[in-house]
Amino acid sequence: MTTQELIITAWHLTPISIATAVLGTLATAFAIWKKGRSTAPKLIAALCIFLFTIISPLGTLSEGYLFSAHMIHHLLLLLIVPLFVVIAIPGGKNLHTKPWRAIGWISGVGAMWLWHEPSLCSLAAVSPAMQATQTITLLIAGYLFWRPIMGTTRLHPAGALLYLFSACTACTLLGIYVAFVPISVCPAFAAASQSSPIIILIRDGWGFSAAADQQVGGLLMWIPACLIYFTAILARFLSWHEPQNTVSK
Amino acid sequence: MDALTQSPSFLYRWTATLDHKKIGILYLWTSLFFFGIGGMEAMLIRIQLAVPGNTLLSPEAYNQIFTMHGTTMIFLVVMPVLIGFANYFVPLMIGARDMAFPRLNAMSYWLFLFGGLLLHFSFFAGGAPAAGWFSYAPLTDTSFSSSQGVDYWVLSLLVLGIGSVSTGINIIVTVLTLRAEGMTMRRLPLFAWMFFINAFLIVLAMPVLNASIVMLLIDRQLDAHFFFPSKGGSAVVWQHFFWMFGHPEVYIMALPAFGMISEIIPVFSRKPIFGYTFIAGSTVAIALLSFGVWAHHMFATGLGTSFNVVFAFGSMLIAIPTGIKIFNWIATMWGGSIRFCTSMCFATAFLVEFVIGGLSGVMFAVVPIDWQVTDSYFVVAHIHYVLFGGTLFAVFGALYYWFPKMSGRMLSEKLGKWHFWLTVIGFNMTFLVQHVLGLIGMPRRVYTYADNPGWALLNQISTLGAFLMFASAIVLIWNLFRSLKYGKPAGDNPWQAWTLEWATSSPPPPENFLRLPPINGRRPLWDLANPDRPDSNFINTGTSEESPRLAKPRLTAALFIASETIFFIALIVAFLVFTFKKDTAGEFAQSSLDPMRTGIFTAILVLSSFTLWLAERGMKRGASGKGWLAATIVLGAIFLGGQAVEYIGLLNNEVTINSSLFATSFFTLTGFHAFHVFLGLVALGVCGFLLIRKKPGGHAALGGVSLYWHFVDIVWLVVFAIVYLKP
Repeated sequence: MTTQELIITAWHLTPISIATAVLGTLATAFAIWKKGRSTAPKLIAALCIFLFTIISPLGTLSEGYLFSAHMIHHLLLLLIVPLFVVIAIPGGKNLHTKPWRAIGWISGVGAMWLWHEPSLCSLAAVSPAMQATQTITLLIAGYLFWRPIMGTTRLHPAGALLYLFSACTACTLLGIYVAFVPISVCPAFAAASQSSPIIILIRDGWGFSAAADQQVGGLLMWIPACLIYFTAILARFLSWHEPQNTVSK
Repeated sequence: MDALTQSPSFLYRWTATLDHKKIGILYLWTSLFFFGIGGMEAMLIRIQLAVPGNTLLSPEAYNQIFTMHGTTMIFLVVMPVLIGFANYFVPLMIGARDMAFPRLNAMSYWLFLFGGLLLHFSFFAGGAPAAGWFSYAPLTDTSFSSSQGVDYWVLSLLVLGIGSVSTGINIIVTVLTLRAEGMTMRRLPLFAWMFFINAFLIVLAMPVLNASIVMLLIDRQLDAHFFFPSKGGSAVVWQHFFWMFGHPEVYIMALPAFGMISEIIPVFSRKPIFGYTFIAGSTVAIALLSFGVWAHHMFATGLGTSFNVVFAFGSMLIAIPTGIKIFNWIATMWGGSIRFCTSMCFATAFLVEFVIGGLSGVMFAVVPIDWQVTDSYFVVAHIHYVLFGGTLFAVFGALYYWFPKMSGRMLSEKLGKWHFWLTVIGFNMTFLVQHVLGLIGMPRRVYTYADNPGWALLNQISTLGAFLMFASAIVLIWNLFRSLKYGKPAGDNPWQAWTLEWATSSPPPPENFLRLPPINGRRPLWDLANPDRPDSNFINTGTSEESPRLAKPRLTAALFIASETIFFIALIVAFLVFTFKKDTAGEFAQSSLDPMRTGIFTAILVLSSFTLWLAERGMKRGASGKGWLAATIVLGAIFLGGQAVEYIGLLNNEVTINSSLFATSFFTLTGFHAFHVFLGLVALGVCGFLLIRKKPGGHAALGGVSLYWHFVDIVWLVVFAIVYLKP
């Protein structure tokens, strides 16, 4: 198999992934119908990224073949798709109490930690049902996570900074662990069948060992995840100053 | 007592002072003193390198001198001089009476002075440290550095580190709690804003250094195994730890300089700063990014392609917010009526020199270039363009700008121009050629060199430049002393500046302000002088009512806890790193731990958090709560007793700190935790004493201490999970 063939043929079209994709599309259509057309661009963007994650070759690769692809899969589902959804549908004002902030932070950070517990991580990599569960929990966790930052009632920028910086610290610690630890944190990826054409392509064609793969995965969780948090911090910081920059007289 | 307060002697006034202005001035004089020492060391280096094959300095002496030069300039000159200016001007700029904790502030200064002296005692104790300012392992092992120099280096940096963290916390609490009416966070002068952000960097980065040098000291003194491969440790881990501190440190030294430039350029261009929001925001971006790029100091260690790519990317990214600032400053100057006073000359030169240093920094982010020129004179040129051409030029600018406020007299402009031109010419002569020297292969930190083509000439140009800088320093010192005596009286606001420090007399009275002007925007003195066209017509910075005042004890405790969290994270990471490098003795040590017994003591510690919560709740409801407080202290003491039993058991089994990697990291981690529990017990005892004697502040203090106590318990839960329950 060549890289080109991988991109063309390895689409992730299992019954469960198709069902998830259809469900996502219906949910998006419903949300646009319910919340008005102005939300359409953001929600459709979220849907496109979601569909890309679920049914493109990225979905296939993250199913036990390529650890770093599975990390991109996580980042998109936990941090990018829900972000668009929160911006489109910021939700009511009732969910701004302290416990909800705590729940948001814990679910956003906890989802990343929980799904990298070795046995759960392996299970999600090989069992389609488990992967669908994972997808849904990541989306919900991401939505809860972003609400206090980008929802209707937002944390004060200083609080947002604390919230996101500590989330980045937590991601960094896990990312450093994944990147440096000599054992496999997700044994399913290390144990992938050596005779599968995709693995042959990854190992021989790309020259990408399982250890290097895990390293990249750890680095992805660490740096790009933090960069997303940092961007949100800056966005909040600039918007803190922004409304004041109008000419008042 | 009365006699003392009525006519205190000069010495008493300065040593016993708690006034942030006096402490600031002490910082500045002391760092000038160390600048002299570090400068002499630099001159010795340049004289030694003036001719090839020179024998003036022995290799050993040379190693000591370049190590002391680097350590002195970074920890005893640049950091304290910036802290000194912050000490003097942050409270003034926000309209405060003093720092939040004047006594802590004085303690920080004295720790700095004595830490610096401690470092220099090494000269008399068998030799100064000679392993470079970043003390790479395994060179710092006792078998390669047998004198006590490295131990002095560790102890003095530990003392300085504690002082710096205290200052960082002090500045943050000052800015958050003591701003004058109307001085909202969005109206902070940029110097105050940047030092505020910088203080977070200090609070979060210094503990990494403290943790790593403590491990180094344990390695050297107790024969442990953290960093020395010959005993199973890892030298690369030292590099990770050091640069995890070291890279934020670069910005700790740069951000305040950016703040100074952001004050000087608008005043001498007669324009408000261009893009306040962007400058303030990019500072936050730099601070955040600075924690994620340390490994670009380690490209040569063979981290692997994926690491190199990611860190190269991060390092280039950090150039963007820095670049934005340069454009902001240029745009501020653009179309302004610029007055090239000495201060402005230095600020303008800063822009040029810092861009050169920044560009060579971006070059270093390109991995192959780094491989080619790392540890050559190219690095030496780069660091000096950033720290001298950047930070010190800004400091000189700030000195000419603020000296009138501090002394009431102007520095001589004529001597100032001499100082400026000698510095600029000397600096560029010294360091510009070093780029070339590095590119043609001259390694750094080598006491002499062969007579290769061109090397001697370039080195001589460099040495000549160093002499010009030496002359410039003499002009500066002469200017300082002469102007203190004969300088033109300055008046309150010689530069027609706009920030609050210029609203009071020069020098300010002990209470800083007799009357504060109204603060409705970022430039209160502009508004005062131009009531018909105040800033608020053009830039609305919100109402004066914002950001609730925070409770001092809890805020301080939270910041201290943040700093301590980083310290423990470093120790825990070390433990994890070394338990994955198992050796047989380590297995033995681990099997001799008793999770069951320690589990019981863990439960007791958790219970103590609960009793403390009950004590606090009782007090809120009007009960005394002393019984619960006593119970907390007893439970904490029982936990310590459990730890002691565990240690005795291990020691009886001949598991000691130097017996294996596991034991090394186990004793360090749990030992430091026990030490923190002990400190918590002392603090609780003090609170109990205050409450029993019904002294004021007892309840507030307990609010802070209880946060700390819960933190210590949470740390233990993590340690217990990782050390005892790890599968």
